[in-house]
Amino acid sequence: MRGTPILRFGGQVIRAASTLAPGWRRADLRNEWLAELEATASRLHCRGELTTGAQLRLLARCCSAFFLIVWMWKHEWSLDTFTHDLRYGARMLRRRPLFAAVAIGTLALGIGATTAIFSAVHGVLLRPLPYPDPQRLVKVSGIDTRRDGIALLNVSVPDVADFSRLARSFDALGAHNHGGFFTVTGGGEAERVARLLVTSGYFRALGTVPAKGRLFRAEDDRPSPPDVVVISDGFWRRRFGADPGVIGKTLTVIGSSATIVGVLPREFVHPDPALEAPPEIFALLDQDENVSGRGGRYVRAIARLKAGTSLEQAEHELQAIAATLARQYPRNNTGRSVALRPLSTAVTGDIRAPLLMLQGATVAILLIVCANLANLLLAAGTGRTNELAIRTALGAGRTRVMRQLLTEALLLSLAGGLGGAALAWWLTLGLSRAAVLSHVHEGAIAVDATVLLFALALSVAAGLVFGLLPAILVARSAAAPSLRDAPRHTDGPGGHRTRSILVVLEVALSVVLLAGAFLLLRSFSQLTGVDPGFRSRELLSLSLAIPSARYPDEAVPGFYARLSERLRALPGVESVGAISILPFSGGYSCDGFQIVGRIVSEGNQPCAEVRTADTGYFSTMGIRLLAGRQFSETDDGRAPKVIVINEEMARQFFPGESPLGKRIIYSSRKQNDAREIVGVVASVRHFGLSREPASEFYIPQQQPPIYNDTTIVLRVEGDPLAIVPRVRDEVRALEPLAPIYNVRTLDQLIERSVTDARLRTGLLAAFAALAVLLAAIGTYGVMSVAVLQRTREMGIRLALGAARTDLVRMMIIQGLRPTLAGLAVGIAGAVLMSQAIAGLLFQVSPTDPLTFATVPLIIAASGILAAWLPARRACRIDPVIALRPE
Amino acid sequence: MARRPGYATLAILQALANGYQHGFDIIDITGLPGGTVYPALGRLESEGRLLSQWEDPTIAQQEGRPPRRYYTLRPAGERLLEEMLQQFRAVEQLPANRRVRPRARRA
Repeated sequence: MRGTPILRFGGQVIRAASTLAPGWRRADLRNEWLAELEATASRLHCRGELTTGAQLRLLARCCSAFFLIVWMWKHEWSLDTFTHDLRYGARMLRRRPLFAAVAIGTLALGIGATTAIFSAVHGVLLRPLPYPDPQRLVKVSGIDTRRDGIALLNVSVPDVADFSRLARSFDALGAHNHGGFFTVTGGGEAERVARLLVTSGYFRALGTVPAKGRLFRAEDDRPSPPDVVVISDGFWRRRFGADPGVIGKTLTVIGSSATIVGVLPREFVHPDPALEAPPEIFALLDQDENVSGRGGRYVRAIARLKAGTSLEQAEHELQAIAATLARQYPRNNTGRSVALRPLSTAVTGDIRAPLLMLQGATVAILLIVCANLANLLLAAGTGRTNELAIRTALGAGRTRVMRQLLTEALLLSLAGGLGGAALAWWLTLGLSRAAVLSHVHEGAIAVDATVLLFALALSVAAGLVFGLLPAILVARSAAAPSLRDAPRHTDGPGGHRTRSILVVLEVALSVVLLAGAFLLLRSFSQLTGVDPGFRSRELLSLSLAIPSARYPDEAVPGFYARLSERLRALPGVESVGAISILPFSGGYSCDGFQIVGRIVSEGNQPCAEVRTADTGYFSTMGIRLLAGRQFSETDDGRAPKVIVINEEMARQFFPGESPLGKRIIYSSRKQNDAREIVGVVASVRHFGLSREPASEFYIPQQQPPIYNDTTIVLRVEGDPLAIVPRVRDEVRALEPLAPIYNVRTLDQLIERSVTDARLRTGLLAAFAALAVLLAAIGTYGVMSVAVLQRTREMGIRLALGAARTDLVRMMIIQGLRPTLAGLAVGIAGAVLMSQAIAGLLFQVSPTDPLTFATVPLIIAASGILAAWLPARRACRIDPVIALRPE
Repeated sequence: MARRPGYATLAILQALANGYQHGFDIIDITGLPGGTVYPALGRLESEGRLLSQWEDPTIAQQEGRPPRRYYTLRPAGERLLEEMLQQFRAVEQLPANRRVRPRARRA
């Protein structure tokens, strides 16, 4: 019987097929089929029916084992098996509720934080700009090649016109500039609206299609452009009740009437969210070189690349044109060139680095959480060696056990992910509120489908990261046929070394985070310690505008003088002042000027910030007078024209001499004659605490140019906001049509300017604290297991007369090893990290000695604590108990 | 997901009920291909309808052959067999109607 061809060939087929079966079924399949084959063949043989045909039929039957294998694999990965694993996993977790709670809780923290920050990254950095083919949009910035060539500056209107005319790389190139706020009256409440001045290329570059009417034409880009405006959808609905016949109607804008030629689509947004309010009226930039000359670099330019043109090609072309312009207009353009960058980068420029830093921090936390859980699962796996060995003995293969363990890890991570999503949703609410302040489009940060998908992917990834290593190691140790008794105090799967390496990783990550948080905290405290140049406490500011139709230029100073008089008389008000652009308000007005009697070298036309202030402004703000005098009542329209400059301007333009008595010519559209410098005041950090003061000069409010909007500052006793209702009453009593807006204390303004820094510092500090805590828990866990394993050794040492304190010290020193290794790795990582965040630091070196001295101390202290607790417990043990046989 | 058991399942269950306990015997008696019988046995086992056990090795040794695997019905399998047989009998008893053309049962 043995040696019959069917037994030989059929056996080979069955053996070959069984190697393809899932591991845990392999032996069963082979044994069953071989036995069946032999039984059937011998039965046929006995009956004398084992003909060649019968043998061939049997061989065919053996081949059908391959069908069975296909079914086995399908079944192996079927939902049924998965749900079985899930149910089993859930049972295992229920049996260890504390472990499950810790695991799910820390995972929820890690996943929640990562998801919340991702929702901001997604909403702000990843979402494409809301324009057609947004990847072709670029921002054109000026650079000064004689200085660093890095700082991105604005450009001048004539330069933009030349670029637009000469460059071949662009479909369109346009400029825009903030056109101030103005008041619309009639047809409802008085309302303050932001205006944007643009060239026709602005809309063409953005690819805007009007909802009604038309946008600007190329021929509109000329000196004294036509008085036409395009209005936003919101403005059209609010002021015109969505009137379909709005095209051709006139709108009075800053003293002159303009014809409405177009309405923008509802979804249109201006690509610069840093403006105080989105612009709703779009008018044409004047191309008159007398109004906006080549030296006046105050407009921003955007462009749309031609399809297929790279940013580098376009930049190369524009730089060539800039070089030609520099030769043609040496006075203004020497050393001036341009740089291009994607508009998306330009829009998110300030927020990009902090967001990516925070995202990195959350990922680090999640990794720490994963390392902790891997450790916990390894420790738990040690306790489960028996259970798993039984499963293996019952026929579960290594992959089967691995899958079971992985399913349990995934169960944990998905539960953690669910908690994380909830946490992210809650955190995102806070983040988006904070982000509205920091110039992010409203509603950009939210938990949407993409973010939820991210959370899910993150959970699965986390489950794999922390589940895979223990699953492999535990399954390997379980697969080793070891039903030996109670391996409780053995090293367990993976061993002490694996767990120590995980702790090294955790500690290293927490060092990096802590160092980052320390650097940011240090720089934040430096930042808030900066003197803004005025006393911000108990200062109230509010802006108002009086209708120009009722107040011609000569009536404006009188109105504000009367208003100041009445406000000063209010109880609690110490002094009152007025300024055109308040520090920290975000407004700016940089203009060129000339110093009389000084020949300016070509291309070096000076430029300074221009403000209009009244007689009470400097004393009310607490801006110190350094030389000369302040403005007085007599500096009116009939008196000789005077200005007060700031210290920075004196330092920059009059080094080593007194600026008093010097005269400058400040060219504006309305006035063009020399003004005498009568005073020097302290510099104010107009653009924020971290920005060095700029050169600045002040024009008295009663001398032209006259503006009918202004910002009033009041120094009051007590809470500045308490007096607001009475101030409103006074304004209304004088001019009911004047809208009051931007009512804020100066403290609020300064606070707003540091909100971003405070938010990112606070978040990173919280993340770092969490990281240190988690790393300490990790150290504690590993120490606990290690100590448990050495209980007997401790007992022997104690019995032999070792002092408990010596033992504790020994244990701590040994327990500290992974912490110290992690510290070394972490410091190296922190040095790299600090270079990456150097741009976010203020007056703190990336290698700040204080930080790099303190962080190791904190980490070492937490490590010692985490090692001391279990060590102390181990050495308290009674040697008799420790030595008792198990 | 849960497929309606079909003819193959019925035949296998009946073979088991009739005392045929080994995979190849069931293949022989039902005439079904091995690629049908074995997956069905596996599925029925994972559903808890039958039990597979290995023969006592000492018996096999005495007979000079490797131990065989044998399958037995569990109560759930017996119930399923009974239900299916009832269904098939009910089909047999469907009343005849000459005027209506027989239509295919909807899948």
